[in-house]
Amino acid sequence: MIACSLKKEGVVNPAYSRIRVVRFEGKGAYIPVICQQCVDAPCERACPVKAIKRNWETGALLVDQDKCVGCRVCIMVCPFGALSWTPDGRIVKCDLCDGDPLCVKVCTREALTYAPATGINLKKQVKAAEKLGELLRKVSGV
Amino acid sequence: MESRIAYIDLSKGKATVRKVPEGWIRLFLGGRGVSALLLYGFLNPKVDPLSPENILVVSVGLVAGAPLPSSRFNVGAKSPLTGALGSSNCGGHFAPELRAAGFDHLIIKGKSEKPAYLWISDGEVEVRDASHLWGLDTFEAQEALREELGDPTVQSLVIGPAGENLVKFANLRTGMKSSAGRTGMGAVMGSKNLKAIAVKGNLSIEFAYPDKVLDLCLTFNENLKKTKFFTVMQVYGSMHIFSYTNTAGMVRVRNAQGNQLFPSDKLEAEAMKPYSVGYEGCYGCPIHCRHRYIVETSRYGLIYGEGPEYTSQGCWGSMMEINDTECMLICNHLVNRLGLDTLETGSMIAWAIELFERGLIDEKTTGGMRLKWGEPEIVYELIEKIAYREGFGAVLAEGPRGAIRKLGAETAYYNLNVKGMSWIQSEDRAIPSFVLGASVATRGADHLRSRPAIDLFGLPKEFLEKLYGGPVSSDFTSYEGKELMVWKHEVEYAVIDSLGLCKFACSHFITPHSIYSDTFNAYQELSQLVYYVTGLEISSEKLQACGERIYTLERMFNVREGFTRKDDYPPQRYFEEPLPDGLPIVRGKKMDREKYEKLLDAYYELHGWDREGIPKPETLRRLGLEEERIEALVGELF
Repeated sequence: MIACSLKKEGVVNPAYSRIRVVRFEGKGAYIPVICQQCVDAPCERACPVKAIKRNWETGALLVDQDKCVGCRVCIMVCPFGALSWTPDGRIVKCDLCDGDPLCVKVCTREALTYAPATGINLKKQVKAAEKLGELLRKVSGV
Repeated sequence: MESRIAYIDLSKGKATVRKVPEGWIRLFLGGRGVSALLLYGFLNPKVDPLSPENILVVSVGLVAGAPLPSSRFNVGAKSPLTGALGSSNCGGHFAPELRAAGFDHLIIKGKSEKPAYLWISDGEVEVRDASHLWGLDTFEAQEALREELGDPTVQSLVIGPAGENLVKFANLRTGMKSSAGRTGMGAVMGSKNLKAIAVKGNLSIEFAYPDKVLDLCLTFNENLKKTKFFTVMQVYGSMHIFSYTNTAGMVRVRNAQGNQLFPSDKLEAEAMKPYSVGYEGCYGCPIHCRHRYIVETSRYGLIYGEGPEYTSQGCWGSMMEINDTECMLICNHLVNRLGLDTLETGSMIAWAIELFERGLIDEKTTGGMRLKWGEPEIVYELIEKIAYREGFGAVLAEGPRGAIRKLGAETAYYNLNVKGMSWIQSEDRAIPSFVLGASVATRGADHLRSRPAIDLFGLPKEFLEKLYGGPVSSDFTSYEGKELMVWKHEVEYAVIDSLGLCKFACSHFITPHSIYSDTFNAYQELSQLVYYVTGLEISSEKLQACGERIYTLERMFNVREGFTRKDDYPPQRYFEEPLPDGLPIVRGKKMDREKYEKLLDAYYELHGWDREGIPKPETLRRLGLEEERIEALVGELF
C-alpha cells in the first residue's frame, strides 16, 4: 500500500493505494483486497459513461479519468470493494502497473505473485497428479 | 509536508500547535534526537519524574512512513526508574499514523484531573474522558478505543494496569507487541492520568522527492534481501540468537550466578513451532520478524500474542532456570497485557529469588511466598503482584534502587544494574565492548545504545579497521580498540533512532551486512535518504555530527542530574566473580578493573568529554550545544 500510493500518487496514503490490505489485528489475519479484473465486470457494465475499459494486453480494467463523472456507481456494484474514491475526488483502481506490478516486487513473503493466465492451472495439475499417483499406488498395491 | 508539534497541557486540557523549526531537524533530525532536545530544553533539573512538571515527549523518526524498516518513534521523559534520561524506542504502526494525522512530535505536560485519553486526528488534538478505560489491560484498552471511535484502523499507544499503578518500569504499548519498554515511561504517563493516545491519520505523508525515495528504498530492501540475516530473521526473529549465546555461555542463569542453561531446547526458536501461527511485521518492513502465537490451553485459558524476543527467552527461561516454552509465552502474555517492561520485571524477580536463596530475605518479607528457581507459578504470581503493587510486588515495583533501599544495602551486590536500570538478560562479563557500552549508556544499563554484536563474529582485522577507522581487535575478549567500537555504534545508533529506522536492518548491529549498498559508507546513503525525504541537504559528515550531538546532549541531561564517571561502571559482580561455564574462551572470565578504567578514559576522549565524563567546553562549542544556543533553539518554538 505504501509503495503503491508512493508510485501512483507520489505520497504515502493508503487512501490512494490501489491495493488494500484489511487488517484484523486481534485475529492476526491480513487479507489483501484487490481488483479481480473480472471477465464480465460489473463496474465496466454499470459505468454510465463507459469510462471503464479493458486493456487487452495486460487484461486490466482501466478508468478513463477524462470520461469519469464521479458518480461512484462502480463502487456500489463492485463485490470486492476494489475501487476507491480518493480524498481529492477521483475513482482509482488497480491497473496492474502495465503488466509489471510493484506490489509483487515489494512483497517479500511472496503472498502476491503476478502469473500469466496460461500457467495458473499448473499448480492444480501437479496436485491432481500427486493424488492420482497415490490412487494408482493404492489400486495397484505397488 | 509541514512538520508540526503539539504542546498539550493536560492540567488545562488545551493543546497548542506549532511548526517544527527547521534548525531542529538539521541539528537533531527527529525521534530520539528531538526528544533529547525537548527534555533538556523544557525540563528544570531535579524535577520529580512523577510530578505534573515532567513532560512526556512522543517523537516520530524523521523518515518514518517510507517503505523501509522505518516506522519507529521515541518516547522520552525524565525517568522515574533512574532519575536520568528516560528514552524508549518503539516500532509498530503508530508512528506513520501519527505523522499522517499531522504531527511529528507531542509534548505532554501537566496532569489531568480525571483519567483521560488523547484523540488525535487530522491536525486536531482533543482531550477526552477515559474513566471507562481505566483498569483495562493493554489489549482491551486498544480494542475499546477502536470500538468507541468506530474505526478498526485507529492506532493507539496505551498504558496497562502497571502504568496506572505507577510501577517504576511500566511501559507504553501499541498493537500486540510493540512497546516503548524501558526507563518507565508508562509510569510517567500514568502519573499524568493519561491512559492512551489514540490516533487516526487521513492526511498524506509527503516527501520532497517521492520517486527517488521509492527507488532508494527498493534498492535498500533488495540489498537487505540478499543478506543471510534477512532469511534468518524472517523465520526465527531475534529468538535465533539464544541458541548461539547459550552455547557460548553468554546468558544470565539464576539471576547472574551462571551463564549456561542445559537443557534449553524448550527456549530455543525451534520450540515456537507448535505455537507459532505466522509472522507479523512493523509498518513498511520487508522482514516480518515477529512470531504470532497461540497457546490453546494454558492456566490462563487460550492466550495469543506476538513475540517473544531474545530478551524474554532469557528473562523467563534461563534467568529463572525454567526450560518451558509455555511458561515463556505466558510470562510474555502477562507482562504485555499488564504493561510491564519484560527485562526489568524479569531481572527484579530473578534478583528476589537469589536473595531468598541466600537468606537475605525470608517469607516475612515476601508475604509467605517461598521463592525458588524453576517454578513458573511463582513467577506468574510475582508478575501480577508487581503490576498491581500487591504485597511484596510493591517492593519490586520500585525498581532496583527503590527496592534496594527497602531490602537493605547488603542486597545491592546481587542486583545487576547501572544508573538504576537492570542489565540485559545476557551475560557479558567476557566481552569488554558489551560491558563498556551498557555501562556508559545514557539511559542506564542498556544494550540498545551501542551493542556492537558483530564483535562476536571474529571478523578480519582489516575489515574492522576499515569499518571503525582505527585498530580494533578481532578477539571479543580483548580490550583493544573497543572504545572506538562502542563510540562508533553509539553515534550511529543515535542517528538511526532519530531517523526512525530499525537497528536490526539499518545499522551494524548483529550483522556486518545491512540495507546499504556500501557497508562502509552508511552515512552517505542515509544522507541521501534524508535529502530525498525532507529536501534538506545534510552531508554524511554532518549526519555523523548529529549523532555525536544527540549523544552528548543526552549525556549533558544526565550530568545535570548528577550522573558522572562513578555511574559508568558495570555491577561489582562483574569484577569479582569469574564465569563458571561456557566455551573455553568464555569460562573463567571476569572484568579487569584496571583495564576497564583505561577503556573508560579512552572512550571519554573520543566523545570529547573530560575524565569525569563531563563534556568539555570545546566539545560543546564544536557541536553547538552551549546553553545559550540550546535556549535559542528551544525558544524558536514559542
